[in-house]
Amino acid sequence: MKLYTLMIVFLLNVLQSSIVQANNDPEHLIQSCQELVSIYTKRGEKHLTAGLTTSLSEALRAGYCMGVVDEYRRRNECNTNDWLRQAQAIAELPLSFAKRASVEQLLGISCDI
Amino acid sequence: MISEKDRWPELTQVFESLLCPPLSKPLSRYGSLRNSLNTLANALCPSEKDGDNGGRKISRNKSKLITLHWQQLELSHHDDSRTSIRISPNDKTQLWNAILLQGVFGEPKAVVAILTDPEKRNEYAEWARTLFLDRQSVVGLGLLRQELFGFLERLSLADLRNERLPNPFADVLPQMGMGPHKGNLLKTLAAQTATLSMGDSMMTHYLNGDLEEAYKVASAVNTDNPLLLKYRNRIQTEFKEVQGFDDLLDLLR
Repeated sequence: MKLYTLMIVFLLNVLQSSIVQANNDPEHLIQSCQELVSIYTKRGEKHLTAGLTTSLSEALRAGYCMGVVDEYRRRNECNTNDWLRQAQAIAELPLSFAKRASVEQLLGISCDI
Repeated sequence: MISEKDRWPELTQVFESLLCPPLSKPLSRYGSLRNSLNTLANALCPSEKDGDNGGRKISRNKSKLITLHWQQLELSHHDDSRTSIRISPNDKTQLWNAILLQGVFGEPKAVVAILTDPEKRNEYAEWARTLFLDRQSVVGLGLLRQELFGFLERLSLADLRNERLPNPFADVLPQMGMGPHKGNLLKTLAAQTATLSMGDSMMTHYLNGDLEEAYKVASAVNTDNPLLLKYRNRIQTEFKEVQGFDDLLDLLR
């Protein structure tokens, strides 16, 4: 009996964490792409500003978005041939949207724009 | 016949009584100081050659700030006769002030200007005040802080014929050609200030987050100051790093 409850608790935990994971990834992607867009906006605004105002973690996040988008474009056709425009499209998606869609879907939507 | 002027004190003795202590007698030990003092005396009392009266006399057509008198000393056991330079006892104060002014401003020309031209005097006083008082420390220059304040304060106010300025020099006169300033205190100070202010502007740009301006100034900063060097290197490294980020962004784009 006790073992049975333990297993249920364990399963619930696993299930929950995987749900959290699934929910986090699209959100993470949107935030990362927001960082990426903001870094390039700063780059466009003024010389050196990007380097002066971007933290290490922001830069790493931006790199994550860049990598995911890049990898998607390697395998899929996209309406825009500019990866930054695609990243921008992802960055503009509402965070609530991330709760209902997967990373793959976000990338697909951003390509249709 | 001995005139009243022949009883005036000898110039070298007046110098000694003014400067020893803190210096120790005789002043002839300090070669470059003696030369400077002689140059100063000549500037304060321009003279020309004269057949009589000890070989020199005061130039008529030039203004004098102290009155000197050349007395021929008859020395029977010497072939050559020596000249004794004497100074009017009323001019001791003026001479003292002139020595200090020479110490601070370096050139006898400046001393004469200060003693004769009130406008120039204000200018020099202002200059000295800016250079000295804007500093954190004057200890390294062999200056006494309290006396320096007194000196700068009285410099523009005192009647320099009758009031002795406080002596800001600790134990060495700049005229001795020693120390970091090699006889020209104010010019050294000005040069130092220029370096410092360059460091200032570098740091101001840096602290204001204007790395590019800071980098520009840093590249022009030429200094031995270890602290400034440290910041200069830091600014240069940081600039290259940030510049590298820009370049990477452009490359990826």
